Amino acid sequence: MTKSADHLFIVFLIISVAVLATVITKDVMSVRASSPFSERKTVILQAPAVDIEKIKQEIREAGIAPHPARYWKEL
Amino acid sequence: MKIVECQLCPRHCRLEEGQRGECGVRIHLDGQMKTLAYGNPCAVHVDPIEKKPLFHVLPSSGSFSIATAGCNLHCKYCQNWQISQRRPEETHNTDLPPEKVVSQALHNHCRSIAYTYSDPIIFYEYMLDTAKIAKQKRLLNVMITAGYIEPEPLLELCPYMDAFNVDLKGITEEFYRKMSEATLAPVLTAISLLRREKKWVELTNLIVPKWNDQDSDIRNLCRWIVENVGPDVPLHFSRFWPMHQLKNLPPTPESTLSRAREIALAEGIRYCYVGNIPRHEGNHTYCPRDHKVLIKRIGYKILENHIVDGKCEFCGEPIPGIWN
Repeated sequence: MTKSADHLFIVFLIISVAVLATVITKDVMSVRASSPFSERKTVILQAPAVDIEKIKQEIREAGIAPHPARYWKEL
Repeated sequence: MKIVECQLCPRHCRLEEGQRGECGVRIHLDGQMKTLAYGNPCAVHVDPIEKKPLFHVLPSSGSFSIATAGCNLHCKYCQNWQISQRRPEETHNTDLPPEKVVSQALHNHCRSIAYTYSDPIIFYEYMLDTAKIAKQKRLLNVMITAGYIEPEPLLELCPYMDAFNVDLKGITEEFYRKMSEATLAPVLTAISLLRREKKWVELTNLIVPKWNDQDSDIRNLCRWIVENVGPDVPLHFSRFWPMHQLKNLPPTPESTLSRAREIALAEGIRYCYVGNIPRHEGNHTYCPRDHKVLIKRIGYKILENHIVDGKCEFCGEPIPGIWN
């Protein structure tokens, strides 16, 4: 093999690696984009909101009248 | 978010808006604690007072008995779980405000009102208001309770209550934790406080096979009673019947209850009874001096009564209780 052929092979090798790297990077990016955990977000876990009006309505519909209780304190 | 803490019973439930306490009846609404158990009993009956059981209070008299849904304990062996482990929305309730309870009691010729069945601690406000009116009408107020209450509300109740039957379920913290998801210490405190306040107290211990039927359990319970509240506090050993979450166990054998009574008498308890077994010798009241039968019972029915003016008719020994 001549010296110029060696150079051509090295250039070809470099181009191949570059193309492969580009394909892999694009692939990884597309997989991440389609994942439900793709973005790093700050998630605040909250208890489900209490529908106080619904609770009051259920108590009313049961024919119960809430009466002031004794022996409690506000924290 | 606003949080309120209930201070009625030792659980001290901390509630956010809309949440309920362990009892299922106390609820945080609009920044305040409210009760859903006021004037709406789900159980209303006229019972013989012996059924409570109170054997030293107005024998053979009728007791107007009420309860609402809910309870602050969750006993595996609960005998009234159909109402105690329900919320007021889940039971069939009667509209009966305090004034009506008293008028109904009088109408039915009852001499007392019993706050009973579930634990009346959870309908505290209803009980207190009713008891105040009943007192004015010269009716007795009796409370049948597990005694799982804070001292302050119990003290406020005392001037209006005449007699208590406290269910002392066991004598170890482990028993209370495993059987009732509760603690023993507040119950002992409540019993001692009632005696200090000079209230008439009788105690009930439901004996459950494998749970609290060892001789040592019974002996320790009796020793605590004698040493802390005195030998004149009547003790009722009651027969367990398979219920609720302990349907796999057998009923308490009669021999276990008889043995428990023997231990109690040997430890110095002067008035010890056996319940839920009619025709047992432990149904009767005996004079501690001459050992004669003073009140002869078959179950809740009284056949003879030889207590005159609070004394044994035969030897004159004073018999503690509320007789007139």
